[in-house]
Amino acid sequence: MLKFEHVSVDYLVPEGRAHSVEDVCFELPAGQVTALIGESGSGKTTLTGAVMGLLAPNARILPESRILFRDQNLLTLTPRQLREFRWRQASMVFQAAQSVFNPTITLGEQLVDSGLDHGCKPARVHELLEQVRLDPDRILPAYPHQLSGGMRQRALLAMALMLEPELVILDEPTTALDLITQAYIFDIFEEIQRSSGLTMLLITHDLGAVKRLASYVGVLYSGRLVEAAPTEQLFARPSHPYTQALVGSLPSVDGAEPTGQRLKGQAPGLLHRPAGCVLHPRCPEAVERCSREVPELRGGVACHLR
Amino acid sequence: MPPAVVTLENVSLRYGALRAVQDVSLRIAPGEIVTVVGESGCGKSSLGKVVLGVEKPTEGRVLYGDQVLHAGAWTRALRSSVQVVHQDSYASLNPVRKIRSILGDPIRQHRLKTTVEELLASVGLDPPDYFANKYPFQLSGGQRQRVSIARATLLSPKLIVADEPVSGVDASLRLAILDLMRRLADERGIAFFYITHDLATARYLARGGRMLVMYLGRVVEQGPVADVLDHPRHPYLHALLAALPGRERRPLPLRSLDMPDPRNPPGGCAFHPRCPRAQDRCASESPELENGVACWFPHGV
Amino acid sequence: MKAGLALLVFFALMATVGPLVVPLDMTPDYLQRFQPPNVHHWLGTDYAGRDIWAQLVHGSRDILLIAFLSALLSTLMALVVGVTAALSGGWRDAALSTLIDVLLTVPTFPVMAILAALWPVEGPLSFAFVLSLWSWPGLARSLRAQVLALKQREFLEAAFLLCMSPSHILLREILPNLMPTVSLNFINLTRGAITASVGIMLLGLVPLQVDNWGMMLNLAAFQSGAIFLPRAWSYLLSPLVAIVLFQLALIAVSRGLEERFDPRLRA
Repeated sequence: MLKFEHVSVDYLVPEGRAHSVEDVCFELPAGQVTALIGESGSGKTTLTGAVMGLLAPNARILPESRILFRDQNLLTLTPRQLREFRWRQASMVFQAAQSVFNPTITLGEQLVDSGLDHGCKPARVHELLEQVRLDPDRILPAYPHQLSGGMRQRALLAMALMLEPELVILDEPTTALDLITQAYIFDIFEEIQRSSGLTMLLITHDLGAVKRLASYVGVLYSGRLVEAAPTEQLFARPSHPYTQALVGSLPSVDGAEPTGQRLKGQAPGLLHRPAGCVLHPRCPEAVERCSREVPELRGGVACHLR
Repeated sequence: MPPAVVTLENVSLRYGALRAVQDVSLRIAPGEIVTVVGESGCGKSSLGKVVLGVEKPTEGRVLYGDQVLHAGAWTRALRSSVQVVHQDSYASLNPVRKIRSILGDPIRQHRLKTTVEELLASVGLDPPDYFANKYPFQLSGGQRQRVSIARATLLSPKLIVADEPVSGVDASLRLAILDLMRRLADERGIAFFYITHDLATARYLARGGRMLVMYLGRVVEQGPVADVLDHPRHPYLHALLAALPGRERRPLPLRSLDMPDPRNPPGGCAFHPRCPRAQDRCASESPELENGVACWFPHGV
Repeated sequence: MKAGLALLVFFALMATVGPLVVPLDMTPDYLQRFQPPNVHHWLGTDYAGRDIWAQLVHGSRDILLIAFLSALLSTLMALVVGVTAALSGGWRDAALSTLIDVLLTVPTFPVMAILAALWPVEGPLSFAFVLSLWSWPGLARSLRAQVLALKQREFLEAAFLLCMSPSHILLREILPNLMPTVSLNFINLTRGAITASVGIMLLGLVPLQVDNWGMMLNLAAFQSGAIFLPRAWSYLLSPLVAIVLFQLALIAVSRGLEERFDPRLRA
């Protein structure tokens, strides 16, 4: 459905070229939820930006990069085709910050009007709101600030579904939401995904969200894909030292001691990516080879020692 | 029983119509780790501000040691015995000053014996000299949070109020920050008041300590962390635990998913409109906190 | 920043040392009217054949001094009132805010003109005082708003809990965060002071001691008909360019100051 092939993106900054994403190859199966997980600086936002054509002006996509959507390279679309793609085929659900909606007009105007602009009838908007378990009569006359974060998030999802896209990108959809709200938003996402067979790409730093929603996960570290595996396998038997540290870093409500190895230090900045494997300065298992050769993704893991 | 660091006696805090904190009593012993959990708007951060002494309770009183706070006894020693670590590590460090002067100025003003480098090393920022010459925006969230913790320990406080200190920090670095706080508690006898929405980190940091669960301004359950989480008694805590990813219980044991408006909370027990166990009594009478739970019909009885 | 600073230094020298070096001869010599720039008259001559460069140099002293002093006084008043209002809160804040709002609703220039007429303006300092008396409220209001926003920032709570002295909190924590606003507004105030001083001089409300740039421009444009004479371009442009250059220098320096005070902009 969506396929990243050797995607590399640099940012031009006064100090030189900052490598945000390097040589990412990753595939999203149709009709499933796939997650890309990564911490700050991992390049996950840049990757989504590249899909949607929403990169900052100082971003440079390297020539060998291809992002294929149904065998069409998104990186070579004209601005007009790109707009068409964004409206018809893909849509995005952002973090449910207050700023996503215009604070001075009611949700009714924002949802119904933008629907009409693109040929979505008001009746369909009502239907979608009910699908995300919002009461249209209560939601539509309200202003954004009168809704809770969870309600805004559901309204955003309804809006994203208006044009019946094939691909929905969820960008940190539950960050800043409370546990109970998160739980039922996950339920709604799941329900809608199942009933309509949507393909979803979940971008997050939240392992809980991945565990709950995704069937397949890619792990990004410092601009590189270090591991890709089915969710269950990834949590039960993480293979890459970084994934092991990440999964093992979660304390548990049961009081079980976190088991993962701790990594030393911090992730490198974009300008100072180490040679060889990007993890090697922090990796407890690193050998000499790791500082020389970049490991390729083989069998779902990019590590010389696996 | 050793004298408490901070004692709250029937404390309430109101902002206009909003009852942020209602009738909370609490005692924090030296070196103890107390964690308060709840969803946003439950009053846990407001309670933290009362403990810090930056908000004056509308009712009830706060004692530091055996001194009443806000009774003209707002002395330097009293004020500096409780320090803070905020959630937003960026807002809590002055953006236009280097780490060296953020930590160095209080050292100079209070003529402390320590140095900026020593302090930075004590919170694991190595090499200290490198970090001392940075501005806050040049550090990562985890590093900034370590600077905040270093600053909080400067005046050898008895208690540090930590309000969501790791929720802005990358997951793989959270544990190290929690470990640092734990070490300060164990080695230097600093008590911690850990405010969070994350039950797992609460259990991790406060292992062996106590937990308070808040809902709409009130403490609804409290006790030793392991007891509270392994044998939850309040229906609200049951719902919270059932909402955790990986612990699915569907449907959630709740009658309504949306939190009521905290400015206009329901009468009786504030949880009754959402509570699957609610009966007539719950709508009319508000339960007191008894034996660690504020509920007329708790689980496990 | 560097170019701006160099220009400012140049203007400062012009205003201080300049009059000592460049002699001013105001005796009319109508044979030399409207000369274009040449070796004897670097910037040409005016309608009465007098050297423009000399006038420019001598005219700079008062106007720069007045503009600078007036901006300085306004900024100080704005800082004192704005910061006091925000920090003290309660009825003091309410009173000061009302005062600011009332002053803001009264049109500035007529008030300055009346003040200048009533007040015995005797030198640059008293003139600057008259100009600044009504020009601080705008800045005071934005500083008050900024300090109120800063008060919510958590680093001040931390400083409070660390028992930092009030002077530390004011000078080391709050003030540096206000500097971008202050330095930018300083430029605007300087600019406003130049305009207002020229206006008031034109109205004859203060005694005109020496020619200044504003007067030169006015004479060139309206009184002497130079605007209709292609030959007189230098007479017309010299004071104008001087004013523009001076303001550009101020803007460049204020940018530099802003970066100096906000480390984030340097990165």
